[in-house]
Amino acid sequence: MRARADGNDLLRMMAGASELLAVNVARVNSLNVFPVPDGDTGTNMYLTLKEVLRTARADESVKSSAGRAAKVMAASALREARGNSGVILSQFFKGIAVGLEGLDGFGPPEFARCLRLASDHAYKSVGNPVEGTILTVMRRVAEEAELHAERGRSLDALMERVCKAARKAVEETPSMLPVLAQAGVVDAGGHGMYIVLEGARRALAGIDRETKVLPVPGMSGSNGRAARVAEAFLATAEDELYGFCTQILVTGSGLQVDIIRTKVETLARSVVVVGDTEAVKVHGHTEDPDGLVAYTRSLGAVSQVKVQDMDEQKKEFSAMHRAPAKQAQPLGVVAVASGEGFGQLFSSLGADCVVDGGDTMNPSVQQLLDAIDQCPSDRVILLPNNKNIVPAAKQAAEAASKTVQVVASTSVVQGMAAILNYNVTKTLDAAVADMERALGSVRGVSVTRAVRAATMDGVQVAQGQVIAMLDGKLAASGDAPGDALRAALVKAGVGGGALVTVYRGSGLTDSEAQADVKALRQAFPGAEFEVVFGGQPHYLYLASIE
Amino acid sequence: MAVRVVTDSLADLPKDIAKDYGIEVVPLYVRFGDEEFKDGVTLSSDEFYKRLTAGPHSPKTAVPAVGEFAELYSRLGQDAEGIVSIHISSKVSGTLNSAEQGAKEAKAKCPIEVVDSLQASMAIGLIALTAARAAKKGASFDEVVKLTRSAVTRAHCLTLMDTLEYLEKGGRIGKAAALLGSLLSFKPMVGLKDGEVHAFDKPRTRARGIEKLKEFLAQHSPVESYCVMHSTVPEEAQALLTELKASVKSDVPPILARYGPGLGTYIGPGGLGIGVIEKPRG
Repeated sequence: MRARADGNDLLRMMAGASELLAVNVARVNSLNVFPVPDGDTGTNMYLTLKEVLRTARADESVKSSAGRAAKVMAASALREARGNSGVILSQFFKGIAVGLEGLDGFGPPEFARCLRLASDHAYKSVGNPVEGTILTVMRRVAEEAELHAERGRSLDALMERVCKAARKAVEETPSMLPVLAQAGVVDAGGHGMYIVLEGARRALAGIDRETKVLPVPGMSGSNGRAARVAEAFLATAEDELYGFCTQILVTGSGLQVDIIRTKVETLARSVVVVGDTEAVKVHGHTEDPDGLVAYTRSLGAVSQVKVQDMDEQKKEFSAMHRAPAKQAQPLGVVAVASGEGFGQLFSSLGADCVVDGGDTMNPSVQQLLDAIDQCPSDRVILLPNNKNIVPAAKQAAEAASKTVQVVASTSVVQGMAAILNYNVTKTLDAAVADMERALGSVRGVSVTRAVRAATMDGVQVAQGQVIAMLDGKLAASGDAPGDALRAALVKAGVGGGALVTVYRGSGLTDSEAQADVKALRQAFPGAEFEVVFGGQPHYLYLASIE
Repeated sequence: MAVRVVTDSLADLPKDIAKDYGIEVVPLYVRFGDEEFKDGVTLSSDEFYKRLTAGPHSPKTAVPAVGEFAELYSRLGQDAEGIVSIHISSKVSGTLNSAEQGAKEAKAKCPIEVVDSLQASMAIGLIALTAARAAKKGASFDEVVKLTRSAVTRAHCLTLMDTLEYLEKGGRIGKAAALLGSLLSFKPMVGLKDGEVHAFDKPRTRARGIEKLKEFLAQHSPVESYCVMHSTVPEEAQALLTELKASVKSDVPPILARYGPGLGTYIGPGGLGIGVIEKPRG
């Protein structure tokens, strides 16, 4: 087995990497949730690699020396890098180029140095390095390589170690980055990096029998393991983030990054130490930032000291992990509604908590207070959605420890109008003003069965007949729900340009509602109708007219 | 020796205006399947929207390479007093990071200031124009940087969209995600706040949405500069602009612009919006 590789070997390694990545692009894309879930991490890395290879192949000089080959590749990667992951991959090539500068061939020690430089450059290339990403994989790989480079192994053996470390690091990414654990995936860029290294290893060793479709580490079979990782993460999340996030830049001469990192690891957690012999960046979470600064002062000149209390960050972090949608928000909304459909409607339009309640089931002040508490914001807007619940809502607003304002919606239809005008980016007062204005912008119709015979508001009603109320006043009666609704809409003067939203109650089927609305469309040709499932128990129909 | 202004294609700056003011526009990449284009350079908006609705591939965008920024900065840096490079919010794109790396790699003989606009579309374009106007009048590098940073705090944009579908497919749904899968139909109005995507309003009808756009501009009065943008509705955009011109005063004449392929990837057909820079207060 050869101990040293040359420019041609480096080219072969990258060709192997590109080939293996090509087969696995779709899988890598499917993992992509961080930093933005746009599903093209694999494509970006592959396109970058492909261009690197094309440039290197076109350049005869790469065969003459490994250093020259690496330089050509790095220059091409920098020019052609696609996307965030491509940019980081270009730093990988930069590390190799710096590590092999002036060298014709390379063995384990040189390659280990390359991987270290690659990791360092990659960390430096992002403003805010996040663990549990491709960066972690590159760093772990570098550490493993440095550990095994000096023991007289072959480059093949070193690559085997490196790939094993990469796979393990990928497996652990969800435990470092909550957004991955939530999604039940490992990091896409990290997996891409593993594939690059694995492809390079196989090409170097001349292996082409192994399966080309790589299983995703930690996700074999099902998401079961990823889910368990997520649970384990929950248990440890609060230990991971504690004390002060401390960052220090040390400048001097003859600095030894590894030794510094080992020492810093005894003083802090979440340690990242990168740099060279002249400048080292130290990052760690510690309860004793002064101690950490004192240690770094013993190494050289200390500057750019940044100490942040992580208590706030920790809160955000835990909140985000427990319930992805429940991060601390500038505003929150609590709405009262009965019916599964309305619950979903309010949630889907921005309500954070929906309290079950309505005509016959008024929620208690305590229930409202509990919902206000759960709401992921210190400023909460409360929609009672029923005139009988408005007093309890006002009481809850006064008793709450948070700033709460009641938008006094007296019906669920008004509540819908209010939430449709809820703008989370505004101040509390401005948002409330928008919503209050909206209350008067709709008229509401409710259709139900009369429980007894009566004459109300001048309309005669027999028991069991269907009645329709317009803005709380009896407007019409009829034998079928559709007839009563139509009579109420006529009374409301529905004409051209009106938008009527019909909410179907739990007492009617979808096809019944569709048939009624079809007839309404014919009766009011200028108006627009939309029918949705409200699921309210007592009213056959609720409708809003805008 | 003048100050040079750089932006990216997500600023949607009309080509003739960029040219008049000497603003350099670095294109992002737009991909349909295996086909890759330079935003607005090798792919026109007309062609883009045709492909967007025809399928079969959903487009993806990719940030410009570090090297592309480095080369541009190196070239401009030969005879500029300084470079101000203004880009799409770093919370929704890696472009700013690429530009920052490019600035480090560049061999420019002048200072380079890379600015996070925290905005998108012509909200960036208007900031770049503000900077370029000052540069044209001979403002110093420090003055242009200061003015740019001030404009960033005063820039806003809002877009009335037909659907959130493209924003979701493109992975930029951000804080508007809660509105996905709503059972009730509405026209999402989306903008950036503190650099992140939010749904600002949910009008039930398009006509109401257009009213909301007018209200949005009024809320940001007094207006320094503004712009009407659209993706595939030129007549509607022109009508809105004509109406606004009659009622809103601004320091500089308003602009009509189009969401290019890069932003069109997320907005989709039917988009209509407003970008505005408020006058400084006090």
